[in-house]
Amino acid sequence: MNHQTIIDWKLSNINKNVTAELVLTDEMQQYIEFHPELVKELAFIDAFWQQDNQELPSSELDQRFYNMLSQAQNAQQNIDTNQAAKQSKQVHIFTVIKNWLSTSTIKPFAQFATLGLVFLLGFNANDSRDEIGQQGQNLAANLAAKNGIDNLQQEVSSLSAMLALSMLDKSSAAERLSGVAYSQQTDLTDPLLMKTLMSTLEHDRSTAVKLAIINTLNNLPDISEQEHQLLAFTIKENNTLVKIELCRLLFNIGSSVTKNELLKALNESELNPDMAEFLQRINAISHI
Amino acid sequence: MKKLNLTLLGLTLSALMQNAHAIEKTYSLPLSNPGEPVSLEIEVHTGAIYIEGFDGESIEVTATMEEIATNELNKVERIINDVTAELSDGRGNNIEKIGEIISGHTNKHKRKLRSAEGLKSVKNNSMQLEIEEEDNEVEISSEYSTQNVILHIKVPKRTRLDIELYKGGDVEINNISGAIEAEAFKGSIIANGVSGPMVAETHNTDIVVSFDVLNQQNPTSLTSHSGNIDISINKNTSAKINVQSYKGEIFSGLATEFFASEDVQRKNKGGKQKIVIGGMMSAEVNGGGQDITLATYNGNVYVRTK
Repeated sequence: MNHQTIIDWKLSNINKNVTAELVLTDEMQQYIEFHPELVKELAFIDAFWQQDNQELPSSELDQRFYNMLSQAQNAQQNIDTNQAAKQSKQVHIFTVIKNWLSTSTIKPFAQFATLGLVFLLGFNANDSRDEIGQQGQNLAANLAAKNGIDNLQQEVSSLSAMLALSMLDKSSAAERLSGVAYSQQTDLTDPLLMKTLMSTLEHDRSTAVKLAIINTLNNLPDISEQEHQLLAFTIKENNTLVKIELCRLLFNIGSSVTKNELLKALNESELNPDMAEFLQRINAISHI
Repeated sequence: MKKLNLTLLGLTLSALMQNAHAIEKTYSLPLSNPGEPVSLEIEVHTGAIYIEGFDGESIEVTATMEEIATNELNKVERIINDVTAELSDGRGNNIEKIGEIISGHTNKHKRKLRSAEGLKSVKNNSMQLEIEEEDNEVEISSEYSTQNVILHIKVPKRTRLDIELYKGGDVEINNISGAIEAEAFKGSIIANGVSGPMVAETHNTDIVVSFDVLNQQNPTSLTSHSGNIDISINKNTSAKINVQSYKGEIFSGLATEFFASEDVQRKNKGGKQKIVIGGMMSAEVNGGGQDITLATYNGNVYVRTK
């Protein structure tokens, strides 16, 4: 069980998802109580959904989102910069000493004196502070920061998914378009978000929204889970622009089985001239 | 034969003009909550919609209702235009057929007429139009009717618009800074001095939009199946303009170049090679900004700067 499990449960609960398990188990309850930051996030989700007539994500919410993103990017940059600077400095000092010692003009006595001085300095430094321990602490801090960034990125993705779900449910096409844009900021692994996108693609009356969703799906590395549904949408779609884009999506990243099924269905159906021309083009390209 | 048909057309036109009459009424709706956000939803079956943003805190509606005869008049006008085009084209192959159609149309109307002796004509002054306002949310609707509804509406500039027009003329919008959603099935959508976000859709007609300042919070998308899309943006506007045009051409006045995926390109994703067919053309204007997506199947796309 992790944070995402609880958040998914919360979202299903809010959306009255009939297929999801809506009962809060004792184990889940204990997990929530043990993580105060999760309690805050759940309270935020509740507050977010319970606001009626919420027009658009508020500027405060937007600001929070971008602040989180900015913090994540800054933290990552700082770690990279510090590590690079330390490495550069270490290499520089060792190179100088090595060059100086290897210079043939320095007399052996001077070399011996210098080595002694280095030994003393090293001994004192080691005595006053454990250098290796310090490096270990730095490494642990970096790892913690990295984990923090991962968590932060997860939160950002989760927040974008929540915003996307909320906006996709709006009556205004402009807001639903924003919902699609927010969904592009996530990795689209949230099953509820994907389900909502597919449902919107099937039922939305705005061509712009449908086209935007198809463009989003086009960026996925794999659509095997949605292929069957997409094939059904493509066959029954009446809007030529949307039908062509759905065909393009399936021909681009669909499996060969789906492509063949689609070509067969299109060849058997009565097509308008625009679709027929597109199909002819696809058939020509498929021979390349 | 050509002369006979043209005479017939002229007679039909004059008869329909005599039958046509219009009613005009004006309404003023003060807003319930001045200074607060305003939304206006309009659904008109047949007619035209003209909207103007102004600095007031009310909704001013001037509605002109014309009998359906005026629509018939428009049809005849269109037929005359077609006939004229045929004549000037020198072909004239379909004139006889058009004449037959118009004769049939006139006879059909004649058959409906019965004796009105001793009766006086009563003009239908009732308006099939509903206007409602509640908490700054205004709804104006004229669903299927025998009337052609022409609306001239003044609204506060910040008003958010949602417009649907099925038949008749155009939708024209001027000086609106709120979000706009518009759908016209037979007429064009023309907008000047708007900020977006705007989602507009037509079927066979043009969408012409001149943006004042582009809203950077939400994307704008204009879609037409067979119409042209023509937009103008300010030279200093930041935007990412995406164009999907299948059979039409793209004309750009931007200093920035459009870039595109090739018609057929091979892409590597997750070690799997795949063929990508077609794609969008995009231009990042002034470093890029909010998305403006323009999609048309048969029409051209024009992108201008001002």
